[in-house]
Amino acid sequence: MTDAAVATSPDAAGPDAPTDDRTGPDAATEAPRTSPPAAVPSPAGTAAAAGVDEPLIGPERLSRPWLAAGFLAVAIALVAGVMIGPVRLGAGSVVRELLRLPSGLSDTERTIVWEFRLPRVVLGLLVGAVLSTAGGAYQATFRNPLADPYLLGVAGGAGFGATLLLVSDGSWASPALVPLGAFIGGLVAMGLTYLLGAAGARGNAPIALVLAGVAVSAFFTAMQTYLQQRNQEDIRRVYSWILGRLSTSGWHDVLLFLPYAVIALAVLLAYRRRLDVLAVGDDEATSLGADPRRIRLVVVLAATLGTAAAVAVSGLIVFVGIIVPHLVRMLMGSSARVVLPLSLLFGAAFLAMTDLVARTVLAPAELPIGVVTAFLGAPFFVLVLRSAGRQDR
Amino acid sequence: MSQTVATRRTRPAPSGVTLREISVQLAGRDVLRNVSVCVAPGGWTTVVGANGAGKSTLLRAVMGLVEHRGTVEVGGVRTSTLSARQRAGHLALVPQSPVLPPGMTVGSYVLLGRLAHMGPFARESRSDLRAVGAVLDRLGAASLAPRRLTSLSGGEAQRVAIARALVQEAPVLLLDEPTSSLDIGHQIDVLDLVDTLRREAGLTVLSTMHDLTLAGQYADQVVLLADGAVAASGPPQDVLTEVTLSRYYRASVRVLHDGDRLIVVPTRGTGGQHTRRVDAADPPEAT
Repeated sequence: MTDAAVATSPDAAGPDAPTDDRTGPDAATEAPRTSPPAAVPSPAGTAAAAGVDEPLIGPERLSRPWLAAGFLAVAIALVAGVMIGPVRLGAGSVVRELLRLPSGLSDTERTIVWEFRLPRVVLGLLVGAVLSTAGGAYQATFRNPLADPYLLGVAGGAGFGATLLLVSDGSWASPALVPLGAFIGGLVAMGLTYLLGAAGARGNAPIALVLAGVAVSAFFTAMQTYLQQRNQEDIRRVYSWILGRLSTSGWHDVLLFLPYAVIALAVLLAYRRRLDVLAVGDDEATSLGADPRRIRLVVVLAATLGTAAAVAVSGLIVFVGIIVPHLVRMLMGSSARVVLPLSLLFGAAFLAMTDLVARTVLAPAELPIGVVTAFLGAPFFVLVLRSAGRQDR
Repeated sequence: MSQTVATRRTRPAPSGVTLREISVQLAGRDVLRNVSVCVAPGGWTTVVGANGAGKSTLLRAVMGLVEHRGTVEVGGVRTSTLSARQRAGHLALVPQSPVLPPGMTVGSYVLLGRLAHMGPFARESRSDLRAVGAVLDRLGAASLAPRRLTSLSGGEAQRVAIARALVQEAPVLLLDEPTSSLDIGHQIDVLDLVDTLRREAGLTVLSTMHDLTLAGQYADQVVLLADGAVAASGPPQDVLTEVTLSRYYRASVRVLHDGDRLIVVPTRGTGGQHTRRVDAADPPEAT
C-alpha cells in the first residue's frame, strides 16, 4: 500500500465524517437508514449500501460544513485584517462599518478602513485565492504533488517579465501592462520547465519537473538581477517587490489585479471536474473521451495568467500554492472538484492572515510577506517531498 | 453515431468490429503488420500470442491510442472519423493495469466512464449517477462505491475497472488481459461476468489473453498473433492445436479435450515431439 492514503485522508474514519449527507465516505454512519439489497455479500463493515440511492454514489462533493468553514475563515481574516494595525479598531465597529451600518467610527478611522486597510486585505485575499487555486490546479494537471507556481519557475519568469517593464523608462510600458509582461514571462518559464522536466523523464518522477523548475527559476532570477544592477535607480523599488509585499496604495492594485484573478479563477473552477479525469493518465483519459492535452493547455494558461498577475502586483510570495492545497487534500481527499474551491477560500484567508503577521510582528517595521510564507512553507515542503518520494516508488 | 448510444440506457444494438490491415510502428520497429480481424456483432474474439507479439498494441490501436495504418470500423463507422468523445461512445477499454489514483473513491472513478455523456464542464447529471449505481449493482459492487481505490483487492479493482467501462455504454468492450492479476476463482468470475453481459446486453468483446485454456473456453474466435502478424485465426479448436501452439510459442504443449472444451497444458520439453525446434527467425505468414 502506498502512502497516498496517509497523504490524503485516513479513509472513512477521517475528518470528513461529519460532512453533509451526500458524500460517500460518511455513508457508513448512515448505513442503518438506507440498506438496499446488495446483490452479493458485501465486505463486512463497509456495507455502506451506496447501491441504489444515487445521492450516495458518485464523486466527492463539496461538503457544506467545509464550505461554510472556508467562508468563515475569509470573514475572520477580513475583519481581523481591518481591525489590527497601528490604530486599533473594535471588531464590532469594523463589522458594522463594513456592512455600511452606523459604526461610531470617526472620519479618520473610516478613512483608515476604506482607503488603507481594506484594499490591502482584499488584495491579500485575492492573491491568496489565486496562488492557492493555481497551485492546486498545477498539481492536478501535472499529477505532481510538488507542482507549485514558484517551484515550476512560473513566478521567476513572471518576475523577470515584470521587472523588465518596471525598469524600462516608462515611455512604452504603462504600469497596467506589468501583469501582461509577467504573464508572458511566466508562460515562457512554464514552457521551458515542462520541456526540460516532463519530456525528459516522461512525466514519471515528480522531482524531475521540480528540478527543471528550479533551474529555470535560477536562470530567470539571474536575468532579473542583471536588469536590476543595470538600473540602480530602480533597485529599491524592485527589491522590495521581489520579496513579496502587499502594497498600501489604495484600490489601485486591487483593480489592476481583479480582472486577471476573476478570469483565472473562473476558468480553473469550471475545469475542476475535468482535472479529475487526468488522474488516470493520458491514455485512459483519451479512451474515456477526454482531450487531456487541451485540458492541460487551458488549465496551465489560466493558472499561469493568475499567478503572473499575482506576481506583478505582490511580488514573489512562495509556497502558498503548495501549503494550502495540501492541507485541503489531507482533510478532504484529492479530487480537484473539492480541492480547488476550498483552496480558493482557505488560500484567501491564509494569505490575508499571513499579511497581518507580516505587518504586525516587527511593527512599526514590516516584514516582507514572502519571507513569512517561506518561513512557514519550507518545512511543509520537506514533509510533502518526503511523502511524495515514497509514493513514487 | 454517438446519439444512438447516448440516447437511452437500453441495450445497444450489437455492433461488429472490423480491423483492416492494421500496421503499427513503434520506434522504427514493426509491432503490427497488416493485422485484419473481424469480430461478429455480439461475438467474443480473443487475441493470443507470445509476449511481445503485439496483443496490447492491437487493442491500443483499435482504441486510437497509438498511431497506425489501416482502418477500424465499429458498427460500420470508421473510428478515424470520430472525435475521442464519440469514440468513447463506441468502444470501451479496460487496460491491463488500470491507473488507480490514490485517494479517489470507487464512485468517482466509475463516474469517469460517463465523461463522454456529460456536458462541456463534465457536470454529472442524475442519469449519470443512476447509470453508475445500476452498473455497480449489476456487478455486485454497490457496497464498494464509497471506498477508496487503494483499499481494493485485485479482484475488486478489476471489477471496478470493468464497471467504469460498462457505464460508457459503448457496444464494444476491449479487454486487455482481464485476468492477468487474478487468482483462478476470480478469473472465472470476471470472465463469466463478461460473458453474461455479452449475452444479456449484446456487447461485442475483443480481448487479449495469456491463458490459452480460458481463451478457448470463452471466445468464439481466437486470433493468434506472432511477431505482429496474424499466424492463425478461427474457432478455438482450429487455432489452439498442439502443432500451432508449439510452433508459435516455442514450447511443448498438450491440448486435451473435455467434452467440447479445450484444455491447453504446457509440458516439459524433454524428449517430447514439440521441443524448441522451431526457428525463431522464421517469419510467420499472415493468413
